[in-house]
Amino acid sequence: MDYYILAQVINGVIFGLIYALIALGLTVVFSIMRVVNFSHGEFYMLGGYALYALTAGAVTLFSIPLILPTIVGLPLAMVAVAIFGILVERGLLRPVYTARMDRPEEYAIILTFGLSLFLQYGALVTVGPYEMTPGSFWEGSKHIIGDLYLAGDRLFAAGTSVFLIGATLFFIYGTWTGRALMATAQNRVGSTIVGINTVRMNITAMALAGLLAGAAGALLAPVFLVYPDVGQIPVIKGFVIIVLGGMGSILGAVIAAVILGLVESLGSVYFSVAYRDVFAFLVLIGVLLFRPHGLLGQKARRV
Amino acid sequence: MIEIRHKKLLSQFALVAALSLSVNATQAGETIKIGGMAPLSSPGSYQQGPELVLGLEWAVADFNAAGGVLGKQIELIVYDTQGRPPTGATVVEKLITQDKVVAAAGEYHSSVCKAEIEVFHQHGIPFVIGSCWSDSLTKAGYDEVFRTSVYSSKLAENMVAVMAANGIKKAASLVEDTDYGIGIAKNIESAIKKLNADIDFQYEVVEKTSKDFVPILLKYKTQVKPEVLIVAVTQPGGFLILKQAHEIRFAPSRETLYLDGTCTAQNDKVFWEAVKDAGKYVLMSCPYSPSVKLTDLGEKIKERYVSQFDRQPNYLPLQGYDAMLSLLTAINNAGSTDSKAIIKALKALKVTGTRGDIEFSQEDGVWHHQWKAVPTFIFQYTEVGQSAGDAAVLFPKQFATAGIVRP
Repeated sequence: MDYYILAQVINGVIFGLIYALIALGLTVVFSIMRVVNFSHGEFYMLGGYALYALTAGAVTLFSIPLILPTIVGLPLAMVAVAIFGILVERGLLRPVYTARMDRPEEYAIILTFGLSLFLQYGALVTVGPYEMTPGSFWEGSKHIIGDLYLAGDRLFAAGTSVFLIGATLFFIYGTWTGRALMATAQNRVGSTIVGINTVRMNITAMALAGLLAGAAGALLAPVFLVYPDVGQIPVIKGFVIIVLGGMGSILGAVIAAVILGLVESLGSVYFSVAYRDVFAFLVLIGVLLFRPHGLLGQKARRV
Repeated sequence: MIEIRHKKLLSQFALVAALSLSVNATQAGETIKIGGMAPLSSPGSYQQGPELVLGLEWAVADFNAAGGVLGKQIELIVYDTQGRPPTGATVVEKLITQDKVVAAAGEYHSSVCKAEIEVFHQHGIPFVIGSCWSDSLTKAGYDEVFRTSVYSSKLAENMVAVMAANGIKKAASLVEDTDYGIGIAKNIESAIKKLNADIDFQYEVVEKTSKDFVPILLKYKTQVKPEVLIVAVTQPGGFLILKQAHEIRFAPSRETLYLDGTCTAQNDKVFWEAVKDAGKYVLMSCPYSPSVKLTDLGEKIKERYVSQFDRQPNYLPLQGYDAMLSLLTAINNAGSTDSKAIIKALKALKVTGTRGDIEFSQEDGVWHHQWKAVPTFIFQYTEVGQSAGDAAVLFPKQFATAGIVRP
């Protein structure tokens, strides 16, 4: 393997890790709440705008412009989007599982789709159409290998993604709350019977999704800029990833994201960059032909 | 009194007005209705659409302030085409059949224009293209379609002329997957043959919505090694390509120049905030350079823009103004709102616009109903944060202030 191919592989893996962060929040919400959150891309967008508002001096607090260091702005942006997620759960999504409605899943789809449009157009009207860039997390470009240099911000985003993915996996599989989340995902009625507060689990899932989407949006804002429809393409990739990984499988989503990053990177140069987005769907179709439940998905029976 | 009705306009210039989709609706009985189209929301280029609409609006406002056209006020009806060809065709159908417009001007995306001109042609309604650059639009040879904006083959010839004059032998390009982008690449190929330039040229089509261009840029950097990278991708894709080309230390560099064929630096502040030091040494192909004097009308529009927005205008308000100015002047000259009379008047039109004396060629091919003398420029930023007005003009020769500077 020469440096050129290795450079493409490294770039693909790095981009895959970034994809994973975007897809994780989607997976968590789907697996716990059975809600396909079409507004997840706008959660991502809000993360970017939140970081910009906190660090670029564009917003004033008591007549003092907010110019926080980006490293401080990152957790604050994550928390801001998590709070927004909780508000969405409390105000909009709770009827999906508490109210007696005939078609709760359809309600959730229409609602999150509408929320997506509302947030996108809301950003266009209130913030404006132009691209914004918060400050850097890691200035300049860094030498990786051979002819490959990458932006410090991109490396920081990938590294932080690894940390956040690890922390999420630990939270899900290694803590009582995480196990309660999984139990709720598997059997909501059974979880209630054994004393798990499923409403609280839904709030936790939306907060976690908000944290992850906010992190992705904020981390990638210096790399890919922030603008009203910045979340549209990433969320489509996110949907491909969660189906490819197996609906509801968190580890499957991470693996699928890295595969997607690699396929897009190598496909762009060995086939055609014009079909970059097609590769994702080709891989998806190929995997689903042989594994209809995705890479790590399992046959499940709803109770 | 300004008689402008917006049906769907999300403009950064009128945020409050934008929320109400039918503000300022005129109730006057006697108006001449003119249609306007532009991308004002996603997935269209909603950064550019409002700037174009501003030019349309200002021309209408100026005519109305001067007493209107044929003794009537002009009512401008603007629709958002979202950068989608089917939406463009639908809104044009609506403008013609429901709103009963007598003519229209505007639009930004070539692919949308392509769908729209079919509807205008079918109904025989005159249309002056605001800022769609694809050659195919005038090449279609429709009697109803006129263009005051630049066109791809002219831009391509300018770029090839600059490359040839600077001894460039190898060029590579990334173009967006639209009629405009692919058209630019094919026009560069044609221009190389036409000008007999000794340039090895290749291009790749990229999805303009992509975010990661590093794989293809890395391929160009290590395998192709061009002397110039020409990019014809609208923002934000255009910004991302420049950022990423700089981050991987490919271009702009001593070995590889960077030529932005789309003029993404339409707003200095946004451009520099997005690309930061990657913008230094970038060559920019634009239909307007603030360092070159406009006509008296153009200077007035420029002053109005600066006083309203506290920054230099880009080419879009000027192109929008010129398109509407041509249309309204033609209606005045025709003395009628009859479509055929307006078309005849447009063919015979001679009017001084914001950027020069406008008249439409009667030749066939790309020059059919095209303002042939439409100005275009290539300039180069030599400092980070430099305004377009301070950038060195490289082309055309009569305005050139410097040669190419390499890092």
